[in-house]
Amino acid sequence: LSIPYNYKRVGSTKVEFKTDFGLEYSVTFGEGKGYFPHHPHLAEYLRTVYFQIQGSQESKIPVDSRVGATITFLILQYFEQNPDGALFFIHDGSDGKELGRKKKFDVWFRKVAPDRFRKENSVIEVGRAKIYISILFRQGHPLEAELISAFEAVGATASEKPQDLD
Amino acid sequence: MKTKSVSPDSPTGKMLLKMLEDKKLVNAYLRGEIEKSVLDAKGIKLVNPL
Repeated sequence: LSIPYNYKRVGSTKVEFKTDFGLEYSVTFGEGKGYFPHHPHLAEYLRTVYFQIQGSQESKIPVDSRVGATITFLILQYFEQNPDGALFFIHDGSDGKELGRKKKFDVWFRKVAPDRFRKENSVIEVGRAKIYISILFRQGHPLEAELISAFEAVGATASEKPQDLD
Repeated sequence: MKTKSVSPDSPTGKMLLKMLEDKKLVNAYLRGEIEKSVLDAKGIKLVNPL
């Protein structure tokens, strides 16, 4: 397993780390309550997580397993401090690379926590936009059924297509 | 992983597109392109990460 990079807190809302290849990543968490308006009682548990490379992304990003190790470490740190927390992910699939990103994240996470967490995924087409959403929380979460219900309610009025990407 | 589709004019569609827009703004903030005050003005609240 790769060793996470050292990270530093920047202000009250950001964490940053720099890779051996000179790339700088930023990570932050946001409130996710506005995204589940029909489940306000889950607001205190739900957070969104964002990670972003600094600067231009025109050049090819080198393969670096320590990036995955670092981001996974930060997420595990979040769950250490918030054992009943739930993380919500949203990704724009317009560049066609989202499925690859999802698989990469799942591989990272399985390496360090294969049985500790439950992750649900969904794809929703909104007009021309293809949106990937996921929710992640610990196995045995006391509100597991409600979290799943809230997650499934996103796009609940949508029509389901027969295709299956897994 | 099943694919669903929803109209962009529906409440769900509007919420999902807002999620994407919020994410773009947060990413711009993380890249240092905009100030946090822009997020605040949009009602996007970041929390202490760790």
